[in-house]
Amino acid sequence: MSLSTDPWEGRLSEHLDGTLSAEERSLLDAHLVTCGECRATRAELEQIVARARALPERAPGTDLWPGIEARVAALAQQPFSAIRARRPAAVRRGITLSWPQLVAAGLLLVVLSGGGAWFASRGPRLAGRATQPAQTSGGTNYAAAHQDADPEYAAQVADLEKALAERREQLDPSTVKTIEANLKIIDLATTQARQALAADPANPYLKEYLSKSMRRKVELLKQATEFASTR
Amino acid sequence: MDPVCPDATLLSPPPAVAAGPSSWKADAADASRAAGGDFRAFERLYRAHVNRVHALARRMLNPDEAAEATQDVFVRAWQKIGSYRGEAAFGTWLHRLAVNVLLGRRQVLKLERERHLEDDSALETIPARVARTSDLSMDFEAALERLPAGARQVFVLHDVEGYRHEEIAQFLGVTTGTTKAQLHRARMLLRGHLLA
Repeated sequence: MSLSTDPWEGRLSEHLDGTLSAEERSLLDAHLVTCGECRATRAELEQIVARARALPERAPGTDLWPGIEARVAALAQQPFSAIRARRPAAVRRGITLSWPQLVAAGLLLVVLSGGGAWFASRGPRLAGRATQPAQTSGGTNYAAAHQDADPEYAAQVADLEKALAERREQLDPSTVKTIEANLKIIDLATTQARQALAADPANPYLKEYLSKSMRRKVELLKQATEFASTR
Repeated sequence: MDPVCPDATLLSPPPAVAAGPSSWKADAADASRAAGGDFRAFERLYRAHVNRVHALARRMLNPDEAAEATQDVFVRAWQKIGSYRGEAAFGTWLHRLAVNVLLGRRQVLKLERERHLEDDSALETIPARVARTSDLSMDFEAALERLPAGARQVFVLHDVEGYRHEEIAQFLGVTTGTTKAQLHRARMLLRGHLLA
């Protein structure tokens, strides 16, 4: 294996690691007493091992999280994959989604996963409703489904939607499409949470889930509006 | 109803960029949350373990591939996190998964077997006896990158990461005789590089 003619040299690593049989170890121990070169080589190998064990962790040069987040979101939602596929290859190798798409993707994933847990807890009766279209007015008037339930919230959402609509032209069409798709999903989750709460008003999980959905919508609208303002 | 109620997912502070050693319990709790879809919890796990995973990727592959490979590892971890039961430290689970993902990249490229079957010509570049000095001055990482892939993988897994030969042989689909030979080969090559 090496240019050395010493038959024991090839066993020095095993001697160092303690993986030789007792008999082999005794023989090599005896050889080391008389062979200075093998003793020196073994000592150097020991240094190599010590340095290897002391190697530090190494941080990546850039934060890899945005790319990971985008890829995980793409796994959960086909349209994200489609958006990714349309982008130039050079862009695909880095962060592949725009900032609002990343935000929307993250929110979408949370909503989908939370919704999944909720449907699982509610059984097939409610799960069946998940396949029904959201009873909203469509387009960009996302507050319509909730105006009757909480006027303050509806007003806040309406203001944000209006601000976003005024800045809509500053956004890439695919970004607008993604934001709208996510808003519809949040609306669907909110509507179904309201329906479930009507049947089970004291359920704390449903209350919390509804509040989360509503808050997510406000957050998404705020982030999208802020982003559009910077364009 | 107040629409702005406490929401752990949205309101929890962002994880520290340079997280310290993560505890088993905290990681297990975050893994459980992540398995339920909590992106923030998964991000905390990422922050806590990314440096170790990235170091492994860099050493087993090369610096150019390390970032993308690290992303692959965490995407796979997200997909598989439901299988983590908390029976071992999350870092251990993640690390084993990382090794499989990183080795898988090579398998996809159909390089694995060729590199393990490569001849010993590289060893001929090592002097049979080199000038002895206690100063291993050459950058160890740079020397590591110069190793043939097969020897490098075994060396990283055994000497850097602490896996046993039986585990490495299982990862690579080879015998422990092969891993022992590759390990010695790697050490001797490093010795030659570092002392030349």
